[in-house]
Amino acid sequence: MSESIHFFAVQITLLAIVLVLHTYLGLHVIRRTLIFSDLVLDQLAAFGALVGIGLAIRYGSPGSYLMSLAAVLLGALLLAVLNPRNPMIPREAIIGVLYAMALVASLLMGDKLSGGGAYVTKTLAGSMLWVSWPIVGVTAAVYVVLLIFHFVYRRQFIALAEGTGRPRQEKLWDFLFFTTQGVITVLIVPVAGVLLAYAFLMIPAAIAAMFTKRWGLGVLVGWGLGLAACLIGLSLSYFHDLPYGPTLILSLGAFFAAALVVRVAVPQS
Amino acid sequence: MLHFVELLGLPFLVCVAMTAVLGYLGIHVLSREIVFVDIALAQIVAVGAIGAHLAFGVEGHSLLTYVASLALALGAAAFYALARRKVLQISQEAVIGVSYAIAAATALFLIGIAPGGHVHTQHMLAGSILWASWTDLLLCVVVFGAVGICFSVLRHPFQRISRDYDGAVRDGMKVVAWDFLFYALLGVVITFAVRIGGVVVVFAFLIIPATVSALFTGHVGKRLLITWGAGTLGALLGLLFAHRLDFSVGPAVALFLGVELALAGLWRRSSPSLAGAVAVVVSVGYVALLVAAPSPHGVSRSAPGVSAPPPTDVATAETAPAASDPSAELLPGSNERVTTASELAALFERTPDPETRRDIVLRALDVEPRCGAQLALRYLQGDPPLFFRQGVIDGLGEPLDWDVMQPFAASVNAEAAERLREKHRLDALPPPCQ
Repeated sequence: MSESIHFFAVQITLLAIVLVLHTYLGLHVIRRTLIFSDLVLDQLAAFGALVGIGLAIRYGSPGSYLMSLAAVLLGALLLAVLNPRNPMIPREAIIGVLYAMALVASLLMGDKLSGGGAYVTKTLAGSMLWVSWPIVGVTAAVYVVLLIFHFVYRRQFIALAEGTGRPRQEKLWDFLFFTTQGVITVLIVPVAGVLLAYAFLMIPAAIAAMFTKRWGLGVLVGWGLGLAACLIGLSLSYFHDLPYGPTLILSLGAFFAAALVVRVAVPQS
Repeated sequence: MLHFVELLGLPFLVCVAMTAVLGYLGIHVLSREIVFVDIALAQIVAVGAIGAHLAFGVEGHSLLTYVASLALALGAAAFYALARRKVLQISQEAVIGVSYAIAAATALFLIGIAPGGHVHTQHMLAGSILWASWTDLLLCVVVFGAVGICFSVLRHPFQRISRDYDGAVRDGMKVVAWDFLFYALLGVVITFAVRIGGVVVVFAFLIIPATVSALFTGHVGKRLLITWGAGTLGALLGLLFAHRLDFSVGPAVALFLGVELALAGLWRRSSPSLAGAVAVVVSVGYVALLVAAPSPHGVSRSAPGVSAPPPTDVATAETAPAASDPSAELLPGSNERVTTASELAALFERTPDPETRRDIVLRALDVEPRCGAQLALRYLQGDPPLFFRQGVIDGLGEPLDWDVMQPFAASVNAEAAERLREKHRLDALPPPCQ
């Protein structure tokens, strides 16, 4: 019994920490319609880890994290720099192509690794069951630093999102934004997998964005509903022995569907 | 040479059929800023196929699979058309993005509760163009042709809505109905294309050639020509590359489409001469790689794989690199291919590393299931790390009710092991690995 209490304590602590920053960044991503950007970074983190496996660096070791970080920084740079001026090409298309290329690179790597197919699946699905207190500690420390950074410079980032009074050196702020996203990606993808990391970012923020335009309130609503959905998913997964990541995402998805129904039934004045 | 044409001709024609219709749709998708839609629809279609497989045990290309996939795609089309009109607080792309996450999670959820999951994942993403048959091609031509005719007849309203949604609403067009039709036709194309090509290649065909053409011109006719040219070229380069160097075809085709876009972007955004120089370097490198590559092995269209169901194809494709590339870690001290069950069993005894041992067990399961089951039990007895354990349990491919979180000695697993022993009659003579 104490084992399952311990399990839940670790999980809930991590989820609560992760969701704050993810919801906030997610609000940015949704406002700016850069939906794919997170998938690009997630997939690149996975690709970095796969390359690491190719170089005999054990999955989940510090070396593997460094490989992921390098891949993600490259991705953040590309995301910030590649901004088409052509009105016929939405920025999202370029981001989509980057995502496809990251995925393609991972699949081609998987072809040449023994048991590569299993690794590709693993990086998609993650295994949060491995979460331990040290991981929670490191994640919490990094998240707090990033939260402070984002709080201090919130004006610049919000200006980017709302398109009012663009900050000077727009590309630099873009790069910093994607780098933050990348750093949390590197931390979260080995435990949560590509899809769950993406869902943490997108779904709570999407729910919040449907109900409020204010940033602070949005983070609060997204965090609260997201955490509630994750707790339900976590319990279902644990007690009914269902796949961890997918169950959490489906639970978040159910909240999103409910929010859609509410929004359509009660149109905003 | 003839062998080449025989092996790659059909996949190439399938790619051409795909680029013809997907390229055109891509131009619409770009102007509607719904880049995600195809990945989301493809994922939803895959959920239908996996669901049909789990519920009715049908294989990849059966009628029931298509019906299940199409039904889900139509449901999604209705949802997107309504959401575009009714959900005003967040962009259509965000709704599509969330629906993608949910569909992908559903697919993984279904796979996770089914055995042999990762084979499905790999197949869903990478596809199996190499194994396309004449029936596939015919199906593609008929379906894509029909959709193409619909689009050319209805091109005016579609283009109107693609360009200016709010204007169309003001003019009293029935946008929800038109949008439903648009997404439904897209869904039909994607259902068929993904079954053959996989998610990645379909996405690449949809987005990349259309983006390349937008770099050069705004005229629809010229854009179509550039789109089709870029798609065909990418398919050709990717097929040759994958064939010579033994990679999955789908990702390779997508890779070269990406290379084309990078070069086209360089051409338009910086200087043509720089782009030209890079293009020359890339093509010289490409040709050198093709020439220098060892001749391909193992894959032959005359093998039963031609019409075999996709999961089997993938199993072959997945094990092919391992078999052809006798990696040092798999065969310490020797460069020969280990093919028989007894050789694998002997190698298993000699190998200490849990990862290599897992690969040996998986190989043995392919070669000789009884021997594989025995090795799997011996392997699991040692309680290897969780992920390796999971790989072997997946590889057994049977609903054993094994609890991967518990050690081997736990009662639930002891019972599962007993079931496996009975099934393969492992206690009966002769020993299976001889």
